[in-house]
Amino acid sequence: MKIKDLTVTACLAAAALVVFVIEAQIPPLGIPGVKLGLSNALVLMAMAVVGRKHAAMVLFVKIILGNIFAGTPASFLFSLFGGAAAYAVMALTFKFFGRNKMWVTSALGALANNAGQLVAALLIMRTSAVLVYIPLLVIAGLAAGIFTGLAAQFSVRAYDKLRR
Amino acid sequence: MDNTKAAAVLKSGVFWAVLFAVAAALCAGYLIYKKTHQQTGRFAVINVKGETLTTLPLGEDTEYTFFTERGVNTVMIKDGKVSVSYSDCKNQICVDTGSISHVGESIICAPHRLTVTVTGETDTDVVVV
Repeated sequence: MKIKDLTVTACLAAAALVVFVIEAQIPPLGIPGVKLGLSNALVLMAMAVVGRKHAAMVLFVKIILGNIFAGTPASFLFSLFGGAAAYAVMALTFKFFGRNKMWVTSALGALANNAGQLVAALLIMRTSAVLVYIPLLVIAGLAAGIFTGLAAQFSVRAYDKLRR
Repeated sequence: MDNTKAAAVLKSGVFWAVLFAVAAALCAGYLIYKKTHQQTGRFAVINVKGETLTTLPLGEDTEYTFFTERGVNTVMIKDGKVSVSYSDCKNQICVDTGSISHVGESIICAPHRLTVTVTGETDTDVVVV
């Protein structure tokens, strides 16, 4: 591992962690339980600037430390299921869409994130009552995913300029 | 030939923008349909870890406190609506959900594995996974 990649990965992981912890403190606006998931933008950005493997490390640090700092055992499980599903989908589609369509990758990742969390909810609660949330989760996932994807896209552009 | 064409479509931002818009519109339509065609419920089913603890009629104003393995939830029934008025969980999503009264609506407290679901006639229309 190159020192530079290591440093950039560590910086992105730290940033993702800070965003995650701050976001956890904000009371839910509007719909209970729905949040923007802005820390995912940092994972996506890591995919673009240091590659998929390093992005997995950013995600790992974010989930483990983030839930230690600002979470519950239940939220850890939700993060893990959602994060793993989102990562899998984004890692598979990232190359295909490239840097100019990160918002598509991000939106698909956000949908996968919500699907993963729904599975976690099914496992924890053991009731199909949670399935009522599917339409809402699709809308929220698309909106949040596109927004965080664009945020990542602009960040990557700024990062590239900085390196030049 | 066909493959490259399909790939080009899949790669275009417009295609995904339209697809996402259609998906969001369908979901929004479904939610609006449900909102306008909802029935007033008659019972609140309290579930913990997939098992029904009790079924409360929405007709009587009451307040019950449930001490589960993982914490305390107070369920309040008032004016035909049910809400979780108190929970000692950390995220308070169940309390923030407010009161519900239509068939199929539910309040979920994930930290305590507790759900409150409104049903029509009896608790038989609750499907336990």
